[in-house]
Amino acid sequence: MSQAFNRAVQLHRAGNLDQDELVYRQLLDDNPNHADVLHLLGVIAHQRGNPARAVALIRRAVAIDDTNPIYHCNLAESCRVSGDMPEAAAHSRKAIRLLPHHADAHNHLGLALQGHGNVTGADVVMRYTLSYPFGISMTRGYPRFNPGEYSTIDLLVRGDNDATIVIGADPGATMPKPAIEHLRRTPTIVLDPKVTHTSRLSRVHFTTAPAGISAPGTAYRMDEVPLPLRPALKSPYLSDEEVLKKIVAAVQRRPGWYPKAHSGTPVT
Amino acid sequence: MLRITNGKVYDPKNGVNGVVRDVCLDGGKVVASVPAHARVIDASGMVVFPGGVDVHTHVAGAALNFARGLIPEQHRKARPIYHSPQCRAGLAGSTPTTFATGYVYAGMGWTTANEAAVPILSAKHTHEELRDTPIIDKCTCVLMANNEIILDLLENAEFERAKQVTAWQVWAAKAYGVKAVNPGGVAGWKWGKDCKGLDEVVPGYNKVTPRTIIKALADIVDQLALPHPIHIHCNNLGAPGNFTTTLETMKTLEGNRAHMAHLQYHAYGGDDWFTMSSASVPIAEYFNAHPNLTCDAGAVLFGDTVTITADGPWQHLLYELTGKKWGNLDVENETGCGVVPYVYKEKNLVNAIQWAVGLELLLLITDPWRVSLTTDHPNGACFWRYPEIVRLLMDKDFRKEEIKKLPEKVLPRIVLPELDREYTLYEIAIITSAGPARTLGLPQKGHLGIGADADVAIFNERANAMEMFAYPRFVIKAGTVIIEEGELRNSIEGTQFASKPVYDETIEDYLRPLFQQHYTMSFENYPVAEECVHGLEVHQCGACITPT
Repeated sequence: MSQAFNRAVQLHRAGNLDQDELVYRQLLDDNPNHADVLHLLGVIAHQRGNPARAVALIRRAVAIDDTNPIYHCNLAESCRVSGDMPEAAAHSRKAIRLLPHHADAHNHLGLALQGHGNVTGADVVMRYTLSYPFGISMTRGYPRFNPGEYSTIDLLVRGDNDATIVIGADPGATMPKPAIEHLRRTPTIVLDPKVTHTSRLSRVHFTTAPAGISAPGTAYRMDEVPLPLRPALKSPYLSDEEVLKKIVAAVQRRPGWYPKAHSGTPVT
Repeated sequence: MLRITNGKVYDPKNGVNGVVRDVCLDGGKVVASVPAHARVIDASGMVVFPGGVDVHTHVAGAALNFARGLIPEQHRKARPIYHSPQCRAGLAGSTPTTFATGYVYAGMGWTTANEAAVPILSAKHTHEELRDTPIIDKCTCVLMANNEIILDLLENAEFERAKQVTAWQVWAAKAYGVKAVNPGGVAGWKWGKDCKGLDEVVPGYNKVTPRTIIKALADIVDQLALPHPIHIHCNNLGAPGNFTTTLETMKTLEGNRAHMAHLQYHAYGGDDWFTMSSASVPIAEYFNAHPNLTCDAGAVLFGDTVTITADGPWQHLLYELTGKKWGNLDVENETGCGVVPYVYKEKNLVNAIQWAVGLELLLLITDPWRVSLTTDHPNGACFWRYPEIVRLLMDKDFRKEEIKKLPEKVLPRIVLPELDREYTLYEIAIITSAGPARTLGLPQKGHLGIGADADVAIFNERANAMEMFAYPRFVIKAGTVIIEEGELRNSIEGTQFASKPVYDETIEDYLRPLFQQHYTMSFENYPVAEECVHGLEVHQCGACITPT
């Protein structure tokens, strides 16, 4: 048994998936509850581009042995590829709990949680500058709050806004179709370290330095405890903040459009 | 360069009482004279004050920002600050936004504020908000009296090490002073308990009591030569009969400098909510006889507000009393926090007593240098309502009219109707500027002598003090004219003061392993970096004073 298993693992490593799967299947016939074999068959399914089957197989392996961090780690990756982010995050966390220094598990957790910037941080800063966490309209020159009316999806679906700047988010991947259509129809500017779904439908994409990796700043943990970000690497790209400041400066060079005092001439 | 001419100058620190004289400003400071071509502000018919200094307010940080999230219905009614070439948009109201805070303080002629409650864990957040609070100069007090590292050390009678840890933490938070909130009580709140008396053992400990904590922290602050004394919020806040706890606390502090925060909330007699009465007389008598103490009023005005304090157990009680919204924050090993929206009602017996006690203390404390005008913003009322209190202090007829609106059964429980004292403009300049500047240990603030910071407020002299102080004609901050003809014309950045006490760097070797064991962030991420504090001005404390 173990000899056959070792041979299969060797074949797997050599990339010979067909022969390898055959050996695994035979092994599984002998012992249908062989967790390692179920797990590796799952890995093969994943490599063949069938993450749903991979999830089913590795789940069976996990049901037999819940304490193997590698199972959880690979299950997380298959869940992520098949689009189940909450499960992916949950299994990454389990893997990390079992093996705290498992780099792959941390990486998979990061991937599962990707697609959002520091949402809590945005809440915190919006509250202290404008009183409200989100759903704010500044159209009257001061902040007003009405979720369901001024929140992003509602604005986009109604087609209220003339242009959109997207930072730390990928609405093109998650928002309802009419909202995405409005992003596509109107000028959309994306600031992101990676090319996102939204980038592909935007007029302009700025590649920016990823915060925490090559851009400094503060991240607010979900309990609103602030953490300093110290960049480990240098990036050839500007940070989100620098790009925004340049956009603001460019806009300010244009003549202002504050309402002028009434001239006394009747409006015709 | 600026010459303010023909104004009646009130500069109590330099003994100037309503004398018509010039005030010259140059390079952000008050100077002896400026050349003839300098801009002249003609202040005929106006009074000239040093910029206001708020010794105790809550304008930035995690707790206030938590409150902002809790009360959208109050923001809706708040006064808007419109986006303009000079101003960032925001809202005033009970928890003004950061930019609004700067504009509104400056708009009343106040140019310095002390944010009085900062946990170290979220100090970085406070500093980020203060960076976005323009015009005014700022400093902060860091919460220490429920910090479990300190409490553990006091339990083991390791005073010297507790002193080193405190010094390290003040600098780590880039704070200016040390605050004690309900010493031991907030730590007890983590067990669902509180410490009402000074000799109750703190829950979770065997020996340490509020009295131990108060005395130790007061000694530590004095020995570290921090410019501001221990800033203390006594145990048993808000409860009927709590004046005895307050007297005990003040007695414990004999031989130390100490600042008694929002004294109004700590000066009640009676046994329960039905027999509650004012105890401002015994508190003021003791206070008057003990020059080691300073205080701020923490006065209450009727109306809507939101209460925010590190005193978690009290906030839970207040929530049970009001049945309104309640928010509770746990700050790991350091402190707690509670938020409860509140309405002070004229016809409510307890609220009417609170209103009276704040004014009574301001009138009964004989030395204006030792009592500052505050409302413990936003707890007693919002800071932008200070001019209403000024009128109540300066005009006894108006005060008596207001007293008539209170329920009749309140009258025998308060002494306010018997007090005929009226504040003079000179005394108002003391309690709003010169006094709090001295209490905070900011020698460049609160006066108009040569070398002082060029922070000046100019008011039209009017019979109605509320109208006079609500809308200054000119406000100058660091030599820049901010308010001109009652309008905000300029916004500049303020300075942030922090204290750096002397300590032994090896204390980090003691703290690091403790930290790794008990905190959820790494030790390296805990201190606020100097470059993260905008406009930082460090007060280097003198050598540690060892008691003889």
